[in-house]
Amino acid sequence: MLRSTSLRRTARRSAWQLVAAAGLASAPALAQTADLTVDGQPSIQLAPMTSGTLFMTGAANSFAVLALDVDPGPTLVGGTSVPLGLTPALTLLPFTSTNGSGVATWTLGIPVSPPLAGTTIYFGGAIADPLAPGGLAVSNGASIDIVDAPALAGDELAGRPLATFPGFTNVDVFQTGDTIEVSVDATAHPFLAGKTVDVYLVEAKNATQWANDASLVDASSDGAETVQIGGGTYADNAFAIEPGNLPGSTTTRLGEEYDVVIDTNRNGVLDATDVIDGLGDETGLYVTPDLGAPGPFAVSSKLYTSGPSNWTDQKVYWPSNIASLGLLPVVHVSHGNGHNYQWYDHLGEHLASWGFVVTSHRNNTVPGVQSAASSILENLEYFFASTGAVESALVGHVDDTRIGLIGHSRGGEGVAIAYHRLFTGTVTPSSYDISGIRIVSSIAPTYFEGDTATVDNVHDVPFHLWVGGADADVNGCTNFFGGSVAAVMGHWGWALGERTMINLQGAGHGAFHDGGGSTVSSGPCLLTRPEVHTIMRPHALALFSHYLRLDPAAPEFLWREWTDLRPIGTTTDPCAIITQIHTENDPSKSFILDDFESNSSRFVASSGAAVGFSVGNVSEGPLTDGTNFSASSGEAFNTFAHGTGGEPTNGVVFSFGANPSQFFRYELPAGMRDVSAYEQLSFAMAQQSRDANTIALADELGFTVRVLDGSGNAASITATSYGDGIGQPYQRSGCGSGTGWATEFETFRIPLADFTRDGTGVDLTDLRYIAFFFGSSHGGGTGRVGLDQVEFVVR
Amino acid sequence: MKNSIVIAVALVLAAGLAALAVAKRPEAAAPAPQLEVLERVPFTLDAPGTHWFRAERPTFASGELVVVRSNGPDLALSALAAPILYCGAETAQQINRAESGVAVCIVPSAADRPPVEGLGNGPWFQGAPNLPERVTLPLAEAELEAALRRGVVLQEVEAAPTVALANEKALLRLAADLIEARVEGEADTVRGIRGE
Repeated sequence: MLRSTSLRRTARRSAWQLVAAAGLASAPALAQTADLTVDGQPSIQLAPMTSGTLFMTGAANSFAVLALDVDPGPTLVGGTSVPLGLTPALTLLPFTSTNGSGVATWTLGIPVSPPLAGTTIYFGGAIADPLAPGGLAVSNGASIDIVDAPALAGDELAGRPLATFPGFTNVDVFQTGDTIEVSVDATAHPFLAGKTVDVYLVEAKNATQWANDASLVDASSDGAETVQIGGGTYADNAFAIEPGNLPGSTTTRLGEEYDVVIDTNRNGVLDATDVIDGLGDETGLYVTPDLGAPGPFAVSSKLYTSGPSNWTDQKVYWPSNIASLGLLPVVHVSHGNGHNYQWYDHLGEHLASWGFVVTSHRNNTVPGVQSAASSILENLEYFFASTGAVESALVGHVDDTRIGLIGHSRGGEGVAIAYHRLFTGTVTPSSYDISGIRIVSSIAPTYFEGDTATVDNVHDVPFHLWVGGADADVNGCTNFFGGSVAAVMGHWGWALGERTMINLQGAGHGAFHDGGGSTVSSGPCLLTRPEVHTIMRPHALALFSHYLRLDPAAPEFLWREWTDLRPIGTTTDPCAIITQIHTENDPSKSFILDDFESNSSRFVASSGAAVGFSVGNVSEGPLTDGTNFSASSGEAFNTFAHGTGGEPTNGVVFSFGANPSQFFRYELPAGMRDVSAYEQLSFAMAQQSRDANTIALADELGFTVRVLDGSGNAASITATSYGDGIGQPYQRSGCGSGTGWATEFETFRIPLADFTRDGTGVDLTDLRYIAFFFGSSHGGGTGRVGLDQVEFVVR
Repeated sequence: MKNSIVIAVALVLAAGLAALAVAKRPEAAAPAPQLEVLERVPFTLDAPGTHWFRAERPTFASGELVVVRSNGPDLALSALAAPILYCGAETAQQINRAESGVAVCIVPSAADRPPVEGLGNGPWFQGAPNLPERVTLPLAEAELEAALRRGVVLQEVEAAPTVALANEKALLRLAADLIEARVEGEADTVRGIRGE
């Protein structure tokens, strides 16, 4: 215990102090060759009622002396620099000697009284060493900052390693079998530096539960960990807390919930000085099972064809134990032309096993998409109005406030038209309300009505799009036989709310259903129907769990790069190249820095931020291609297929390759620089297909994201650490001359905290610049890149 | 004199043999129509149906189920706009996928047109690619005129006895029977209609 009486002698010196000082003054010049640390660090924080251990290393079995002071010095004594101020407070600690390994230790306790918080104590010492000049090896300085015990703090702790700075990044979702790692940023938590702590993975609790029971009970498969937190880099502090043996959720919630606790005082209780991932009502992390495997329920299904019209024919799927399950969300499936309503067992069976009611109806697609929309609405109305007639077991269990529409091909356009009719009041249902429709999903939809502007508009309902790169029917070509019908991504442009797109290279039109026969595919590296379904099942489950259940473990499956979070059980066929875009478009969850929908100048973002660049051939405009995919010098947005013209879907495209480092940069004006309320920087990028630069690169494209704050503090992050960079276009020919199919955007999300790691000093309350760097210094010597939807988001 | 008589008789015999040969030569076969009617089943409906395959969406209380075989054109349903299948000046409601080249179609006797004798005999032809729901009656009539100029002709297939049906659901089930009997590879289409 550091005696409080020692510090009462600040006004006078003891005889020993005078002797020590005189001895040092008269001694010949000494060498600083002893190493002094506190708990392994040159400097640590300690709170009252805690202790730290000083380690001084030098010659073995030798006399060792250590002193403390309130000034770090250094002071020159007899030609020797002593790492103390030699003030009147100078105090010698009890003499000791080094052990056989040359280590001497002193343990100091910090008293409660007098209150010492705010005081820094400095240490210096020496070890007798006949080999050292003057026979005494003087140590370096070390210090203890005495602080009030920090309150319980929350932070993101769980995550995964990265190959480059910051060396580790936080994620919330792990799949069963994943190793769960934790890292501590010692610069953000200086109190933890040097501390030996216990780390628990516990079942998640909300604030009330923690208040009622703060005990720490480890739930990992290998018990709590005991680690010493270093003062080094963020990556240096990463360690595993679970080797991957947790099974994940066994309910219909996708993720089993856990919190992570760093028990700093090692008392087995969540209290002051501890750090928790999952503070209050938040959950630290989720462990999901195999989302492609059947869920916890057995499934019942039936064909219903005794309704009043042909369009009430349907196949219905539900959990067999539905009687005990309360109200369940409903997924409504509308097939495409030439397809059959019985061809969606892979979705119906799967989703029902996870607690959804699914109905797949006969769809009037042969006349066209308007007829399809009419039959979709007729069936939807009938399903909710006559649930008992369809299937008595469903009565009282279908939730008309949680409806998901999903259509394929002409059915995919039909659901969009149907929603538009509800939105405009052309159709007013009596058995449900439009507000109950939470998501509209279109699988390889036709775009017959795209030329006529608004009827495909899904407005601001969340929209989701499946695209098969090898689709030989609705093939994505923006000028197919002189029309836009095959422009499968056209609906994306009309979606004004939260939206997601998943692009499956190698997937054909018929691969999305389960009806057998041709997959209707064209292109290289094709996927089989079973392979496509291994992708569809977990993705559909995550999609509908997110929108119909607000499942917190679901969203990461919609925006994390496929190479980072590939659902268990999906095909490992190297042809399965999957890209995903997810944009929030929601002011309550995001601040859009630039969506390119206003301020058409290349030098002004839609938010008003200034834009600067050294990349070349910069064009801002519609991400639409009204012709075919043949490259043309005057066509800046060739192969950008988010529409065919007229859709509100703009972006920017630029080239680089002239020098090894070129940038595209935003300068945030005053009033926008505080982004500390947000958690991630999100943006969508793509390599422009059939462009000479893209063809020359012929690879994934890396880039760097750099931020700079108002004080000049900066941090750069290599994007490829998080995944594999910007993907290469699907190497399919057709739709004009050349190789490379429609340009595929993908979302990148970087936690803002990653820019602050390891003491970069970046101040997220005063972010001045965000820049994207390209070139040979950043992961690709040449390229042409599209950029869209740059936003700060709350996870 | 005797030689002349012999020559004359020989000439007469030769002419007779020649005439006989001509009389016995088989006639050249007429080429099969591109869209060949295999079967016609007239029907009536107690509850009128809606003809979604025209922009006007007229009702119909009678018509014919017609089985048509393609001897060339692709009848398989796809997502994109395909050549419209016409029976006379009316769009045909194709029921099955027709990957095999055999299509079962409903040809309505639409309420906005005068009745057509031998409705299902066509002429059958494919018009310009479009969505049937965008085809207007004037467009259908124009397509017929153009088809006639191209040489399409009526067929003469005897119709089955008229079947009285309650409604469109029953009509679809009757179509399923025809699909089962006439179309290869579409057992699932039949099951879907019957709810099996």
